[in-house]
Amino acid sequence: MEPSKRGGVHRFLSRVWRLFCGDDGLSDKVSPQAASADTLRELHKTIKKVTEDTEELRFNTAIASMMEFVNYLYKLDAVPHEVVAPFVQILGPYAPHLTEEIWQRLGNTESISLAAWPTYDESLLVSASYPLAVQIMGKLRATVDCPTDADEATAVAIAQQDDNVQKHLEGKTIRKIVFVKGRILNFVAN
Amino acid sequence: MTEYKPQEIEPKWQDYWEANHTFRTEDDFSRPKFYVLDMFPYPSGSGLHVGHCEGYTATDIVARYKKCRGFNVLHPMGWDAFGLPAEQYAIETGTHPAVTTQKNIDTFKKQLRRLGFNYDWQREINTTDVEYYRWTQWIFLKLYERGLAYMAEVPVNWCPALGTVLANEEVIDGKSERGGYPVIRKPMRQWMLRITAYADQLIEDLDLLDWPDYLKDMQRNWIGRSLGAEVDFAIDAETANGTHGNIRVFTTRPDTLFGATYMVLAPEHALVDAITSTEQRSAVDAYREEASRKSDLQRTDLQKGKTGVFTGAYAINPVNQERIPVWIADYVLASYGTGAIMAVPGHDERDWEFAKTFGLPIVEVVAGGDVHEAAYTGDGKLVNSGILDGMDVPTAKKTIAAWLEERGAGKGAINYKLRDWLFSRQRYWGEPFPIIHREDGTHTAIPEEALPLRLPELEDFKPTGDGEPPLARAEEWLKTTDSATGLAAMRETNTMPQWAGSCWYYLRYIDPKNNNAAWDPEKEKYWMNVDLYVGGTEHAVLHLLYARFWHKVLYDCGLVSTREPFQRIVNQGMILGLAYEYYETPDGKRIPFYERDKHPDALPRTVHADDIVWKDEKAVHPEDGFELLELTEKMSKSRGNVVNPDQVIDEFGADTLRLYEMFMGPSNR
Repeated sequence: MEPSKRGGVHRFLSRVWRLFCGDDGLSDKVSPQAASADTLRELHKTIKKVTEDTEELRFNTAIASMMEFVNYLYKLDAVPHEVVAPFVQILGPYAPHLTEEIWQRLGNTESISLAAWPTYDESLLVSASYPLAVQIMGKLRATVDCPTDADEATAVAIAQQDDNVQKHLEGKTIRKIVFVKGRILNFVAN
Repeated sequence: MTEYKPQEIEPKWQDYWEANHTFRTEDDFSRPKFYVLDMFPYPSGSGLHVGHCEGYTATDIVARYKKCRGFNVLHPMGWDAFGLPAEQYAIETGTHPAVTTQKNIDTFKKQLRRLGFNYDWQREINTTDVEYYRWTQWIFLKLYERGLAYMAEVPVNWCPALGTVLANEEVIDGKSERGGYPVIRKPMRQWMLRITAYADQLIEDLDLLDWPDYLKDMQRNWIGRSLGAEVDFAIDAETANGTHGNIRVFTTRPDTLFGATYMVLAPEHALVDAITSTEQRSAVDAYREEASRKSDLQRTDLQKGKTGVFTGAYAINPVNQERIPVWIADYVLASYGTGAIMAVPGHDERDWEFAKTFGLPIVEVVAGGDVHEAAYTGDGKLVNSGILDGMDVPTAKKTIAAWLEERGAGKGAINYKLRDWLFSRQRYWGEPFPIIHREDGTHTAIPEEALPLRLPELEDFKPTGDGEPPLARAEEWLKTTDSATGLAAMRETNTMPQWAGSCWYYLRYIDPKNNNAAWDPEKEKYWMNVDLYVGGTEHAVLHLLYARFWHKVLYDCGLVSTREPFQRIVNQGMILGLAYEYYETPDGKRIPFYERDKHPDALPRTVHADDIVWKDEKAVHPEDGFELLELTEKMSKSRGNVVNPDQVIDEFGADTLRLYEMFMGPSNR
């Protein structure tokens, strides 16, 4: 085996262990607080990806997406309890021993291999906002958080609240606005 | 902070699964089923190899996943345990092959258990178990009853050192695959299975299957169906010791009949003795002797230069009454077509090479090339061909077939590369044939109720001194009486090849403990066919072809409900997303890996396993057609120092090994 890659997957499993497990039960980092919309979206994205990839025997990309999700969880201050069960379930076919252990620590009395596969909610996969690039005369001046369903007027209003945008628009007349939803807002001003 | 300790967790859960029968599969017909199958291993003495683990991990993931999705999953494991190594070991040490086999199985099982696979061990099977092979014998009886098993004197690959006949694919460069002993050709009485009777079905039913195209192509190529014509060439008796008669040839190019300038017979062809002239006799005999020592593969694929000898005889080309010489050459096989060919050097590469070597005439009959420089095998207008002149190749083929048929000189015909299956081995460690030879020289099958016919105990597992199989040593077992006629009889001493047990094992998993039948029809209907079959490409041709053949016979007997056994097949290489490599120069030109030295600034590029094209069992670039370098080779080399998965499990745990196996692949390199 190539030591680097073996080390990679072993490190991943160790990280899963340390993230969820304490000396006996669960790790202190697992918290009863509800998961944020962001975390739920990441979870459901991962369930969807692993489900589809496993169905199509694309095991390496399924594993990669589970690694990404764990990286995401590591960035949080606390791991919401509600994401632990579905995540270890999708990891279950791949790492059956480790996941049985965590499953038991979650208070389950039957084998994880007998539990029904978690489902994903398509509606949760859509993100609530996206980073919108704001340009003035073709130069990037800011990146603002823009609601997914915002129209041009709303996007302009949000952009104009940004300090740097205000600075560069000061004393100028806006001649034209180009808004590409989901990507970019450009002011033509002089 | 608490540490991840797989060495503690893993045995705990393996014990739990075993104690709680977590992976037991019930025959609950009310639920949707999913049957996922591994190609079962030969339990060798060296134990489970990391290479085994790839496919097994993949099916284990699928089985666990499908179970969570609500399917009733069948995921069994067993042992393809007849075979040479245990017998060789028995000859050397006197240890019974059954003892060695059991010991190896125990090791394999322990290793598989450590990987956490969710097999239902209640369904474990072993092809050498008498309760298993009685049903292998039973299926043989079905084949025999339908006239699909017969005896024949056939030239076989005889390996004196191993004391057995080998299949063509067990012979490499004229030597045995195991041991590297010399192999010669020798006619012997053998059991044959008439797989050729199913050749068309085996091709046509590939359309029903979700297999990768290259696998289907490999099956089609092996069967090798070609349309053509049989043509009779009259022997010129004056030149052939007064022998009258015809030499029949099969050709896929009857359109080129006017270009036939000589004929070639296989050295074993039945007419060779009769037609050889006195002057040529000693040269012909010497050549035949030499050819008998070569394997088919040596004679065809591997041989660079062409060899051959003139018999002294001539034959008459039926289309133009030309007298053409008859040669023998070992590049013509007795087993292909009629064992004789008409040679058209202008339009066949092998014939062209032969004609150049021996100074035989080359005549152009299809325009488009320069036949004095090379054989022209493309389409074009017919020339120098009498009634066919001006036609294209397909039209000429039809016209000449009709012309031959009208004159009784030939007819349209289909030929197959596939031969009947040589189904006997001169070994001890195999299934005994349920056949007896009566004292009056006839033979018959023993009745179904007399099964199983057990392998007798032996102390010496070697063939007898006069070349009889080891079972000839079992004197008591050997002698019997035919219950129908009361005649004294001797049992068949050959045994079945290792392929036999693997031809139907997927059916026994369905009902492994049934003592009254090979399987229960209701259970068969529920579980069949196999939804996903995973294994290596080394079994892409023969195992699949043989198993499909048996399955079709069982279907025709009304014993199974599906026409095909394996709905979907996947090779490990595809699962792991292995890639195939070529190079690209800075100006964007694609070059094969073997030309890399000429382009030092070329960069490696890969083609994904799903996109490659298979040609002659080699992976080639989908557009450029050159051969690609399989990256698995490199990878397996880098893993080569790990012979045994136990080492990895000891150090890192089974879950790491499982993930590692599945995480390989070019996208992560």
